[in-house]
Parts: sequence; C-alpha cells; structure tokens
Amino acid sequence: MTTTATGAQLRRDGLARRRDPLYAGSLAFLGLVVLVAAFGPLVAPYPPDAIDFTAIWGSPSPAHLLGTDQLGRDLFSRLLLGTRESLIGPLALLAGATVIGVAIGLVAAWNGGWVDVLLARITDVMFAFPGLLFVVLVIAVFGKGPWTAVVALALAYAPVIAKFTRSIALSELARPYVDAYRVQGASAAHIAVRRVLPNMTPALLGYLVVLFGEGLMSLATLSYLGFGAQPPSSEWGLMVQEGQDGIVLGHFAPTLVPGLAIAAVVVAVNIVGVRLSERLGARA
Amino acid sequence: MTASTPSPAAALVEAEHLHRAFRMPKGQDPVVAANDVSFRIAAGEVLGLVGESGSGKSTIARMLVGLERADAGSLRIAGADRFAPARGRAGRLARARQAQMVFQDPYGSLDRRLSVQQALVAAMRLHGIADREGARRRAGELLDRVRLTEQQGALRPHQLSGGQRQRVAIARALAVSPSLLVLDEAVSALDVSVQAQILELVDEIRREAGIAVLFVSHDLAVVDEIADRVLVLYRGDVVEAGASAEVFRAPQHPYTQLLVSSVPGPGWDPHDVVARRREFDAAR
Repeated sequence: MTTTATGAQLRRDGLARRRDPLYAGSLAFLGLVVLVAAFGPLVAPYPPDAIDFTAIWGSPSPAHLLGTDQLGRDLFSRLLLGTRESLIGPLALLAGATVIGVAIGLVAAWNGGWVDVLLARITDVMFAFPGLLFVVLVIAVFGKGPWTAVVALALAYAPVIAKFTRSIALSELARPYVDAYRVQGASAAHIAVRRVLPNMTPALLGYLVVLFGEGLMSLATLSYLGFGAQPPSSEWGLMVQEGQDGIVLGHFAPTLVPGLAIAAVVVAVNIVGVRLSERLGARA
Repeated sequence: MTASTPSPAAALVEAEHLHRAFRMPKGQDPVVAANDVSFRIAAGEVLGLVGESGSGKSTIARMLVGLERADAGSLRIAGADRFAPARGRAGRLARARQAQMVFQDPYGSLDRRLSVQQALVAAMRLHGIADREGARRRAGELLDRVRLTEQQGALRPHQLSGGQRQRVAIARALAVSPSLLVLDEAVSALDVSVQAQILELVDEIRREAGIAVLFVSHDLAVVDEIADRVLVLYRGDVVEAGASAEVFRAPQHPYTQLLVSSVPGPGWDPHDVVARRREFDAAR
C-alpha cells in the first residue's frame, strides 16, 4: 500500500514539475495516428485504389476532403489507409534491429576481452558501410518489396543499437548489484537477461522511440526511391513519389499531404522520445 | 574472545598461502594484493581484516566469495575447495550457500528495480529454499531479524536510508543461510550511530546463527569493536595477526603501530602522523 501511495505521489510530482504542452500534444497526436492506423479503413470514405478519371488532380472539395491524385484516387482515404503500412514497417524493422542489436551489445559488454573486440570490429564494418548502399545491395540480391526493405534496414540499424546497448550495459554491469547476484550463485545468462536488461530498459526505450522516427523516414525514403512499398500501396513515401508529377502541373496536394504526414509523425516521435529518455533517465 | 587460534578441526575457512598480483601497464611493477596470506576462521568467529586502501583487503574478501581468483594457494570452506571450477548449477548454488557478501555501497549493491521483499524472495527462489508462499513468510522473518518492518519490506532501495539498505543487504545475504558472511567495508559508508546498530546486528547474528564472519575495514575502532581476532595487511602481506584486543593495545609491527597511532583521538596531531608515515615508507 505504501508503494502505490508513494508511486502515485512521484508520478503526480513528476507531472506537476514538468508540465509540458509540447510533449502532451505530441503524445496525443501519436495516439490519434495509432487510432487511424487501427480504424482508418472503417473511416475512409473511398477504397484507396478507387480510380475516378473524372476527378484527376482534383482540388479539396466536400467529396474529396484533401483532393485527388493523378488517377483521381481520394487522397484523404489513401492517407488514412497508408497509415498502417507506414507505421508497421518501422515497428517491425525496429523490433528486428533491437533483438539483434541488444543481444550483440549485451554479449559484448558482459564478456569483454576478445568477444568485445570482435563484435566491435563487426559493428565498425557495418558502420563504415553506408547504410543506404547496404540496403540497396540487399534489395538488389533479394528483390525489391516492403519486407526486403524492412529486413535490410533492420540489419543496418542493428549496429547502432548494439553500440548504444553496449555503452549502457557497461555502466550497468559495473554496479555492485551484479556482483551481488554472482555471489548469490545466479548464472551469467540469468543476471544479464533477467536482472540487468530490465534495469536498462528505461534508457533503451527513449532511444528506440527516437530511432522509430528515423526508421519511418528511412523506409519512406526507400519507398520513394521505388525499393520499398510497391503500387498500388498507399504507403506515404510511395504516395510522395507518385504525386511528384503533379508539381510541374501546379498540383501540390498529392506530394504535400503524405509528406506532411511523414514530417509530423517523425517530429512528434522525436519530441516524445527525447522527453521520455529524460524522464525515465531521471527516475532510474 | 580467546586469544588462541581455534583448532584446525574446528576451522570453517582455511586459507593457505594465498597469492595474487595484478599486472600493471607496461613499465610498472605488478601490484601484489595478497602475498602468502594464510588464515582460519572458526564457525561463529569474527575475523577482522584491516589495512589501508590498496593493501589487498578487498581482494581477499572477494576471493572468499568467488569474485576474484588467486594465482596460488588454496582456499577451503567447510572442507570444499573454492578454487576448483564449480560443477554445474547445483555446484554453483551450493558454493553460494557457503559464503555470502555484504558490499560497501549499500545503494549500488541492491537491484533498484526490486522491492526489499522481492529481492529476498528472489534469492530464496533461486536456491529453491521454499515455495513462493514459504519464501514470502521467511522474508518476513528475515526482515524482522534485521529490524525492518513489513511496510519497509514493500519499499524499493531508493526509498530507504543508507543504514536500512545495509540491513537489507545483510538480510539478502542471510536469505540463503550461508556459513560465512563477508562484510567488505560494509559500515564504512554509514554514519557512526548507524554503524553501531549494524555492528550490533552482525554480532547478534553470529552469536545466534553461529555464522563465521570476515569483517573487512580500514576503521580500526570498528574492527576492535566486533572482531575476535584480527589480521593486519600491508601491501598484500600479513604483518601482524592475533586477538584484536592484544593487537590494538600492544601493536608489535611498525605498520600496525603506525595505523594505531594514526587513529584520531586525544592528543592527536595530523602533522605528526604524516611525518611518521613518511619515516615508515622511507624505511621500507
């Protein structure tokens, strides 16, 4: 009972001390985006691939809230329906990169010595290799498509996460409670995974949220270049690319709408990520 | 409180000719942390280990709990060789039940994510000492024994004072019913009145449970208070050993004399102490 009381107290104090409209606004916006990703298909007025040649490059109107693209498809509906694909991609890539990166970082920090050196060399090589070039190479070998892009980017992000994990794991492993668990007779795997990793999650979480924004941008870039999502998908990066032809003709909405969506989500995610790591870091 | 060394048959801990040197960067002499150190501790006995920082006290303490290896020598607790590799999980746990340790830093040596109760239960569950319900009941008894309340048991380390945390560390060590308790500068970070409470607790535990204690400290007054016998360590060498009353009242070795005369008290002159220290180092 005492814990819950003190916990609530802490949380209340935390909020009162740092009332932060930017953070709250970003969080609310991201919440809305997640809702759209979940329920967008129910709300969208048109199917995303409903072609209407009578309404090509249409301006915003009551029938088409954000206008239409080069095939007369409703931009509002495409935006809503593209949300899910645009979010799931970076989520999946981050999940993959986190599993690989955290495992490498933790093993390197725990073992030290030649294991650490070897893993540091491998991640250095992966670092030295330009990420986008690496991804294009993987796509060239395995063929283009949204999942190849996700897997390739996961591999490209893993060393970043490994380096970060290693650095926080090193400082965590230096704490005497790790020795205390050893003296208790716990196995290395038990200590590293069950005891040390949970203590690292707050620091990791904030970093991963920021990386999510980067991942979203990278995937959108790949789709824009034609390596990621393929038509008729309404993934946002692909929408930007498809709408490009309209710019010369003076129709900005088809590029601007998905472009702004990407920018808004990335900015909101960054704000939340940075604030989150500050807060969780302060509490730990 | 007898001056005579307990008979070898009664000795719980038998350390013979322990040696350990730490290699230093190129061009520097290795630091000898233990040089031909031999001692015995009987069940229910408190052996004090004193010396200045860098004298090798902690290295010897860490050897006893398996956190540090020796270059040469043998160490047996209850007849079992501590330096032979542990055989599997059962061997590791059996070894952990022989010797437990209380660390200097009362905050860092506790897992900040676990409440006091959870930490105690986790230690007992690791050793399969009781089922979840039994472990919880025993945790209550342990808390009672180190004079913490049930309410305090629900708190996490950051909500406790330094003295309370050290009680938790002692309770955690006792949770696996060890035959030897190693306290490595365990009261050095606490203020004097709290020190006295912890010392009283340690004394009570060894009297009631018959646990052997290795008490490591740089504080002669504290060691004099709690230890039956004392070992004076200087740069890895045992320079004096005997009943603590005799060693501190009539020190034989120049280093022990220096240590005893360096303790602040009536007529104490820092300049004098520094001068004598310089003399001593020059003579070496």
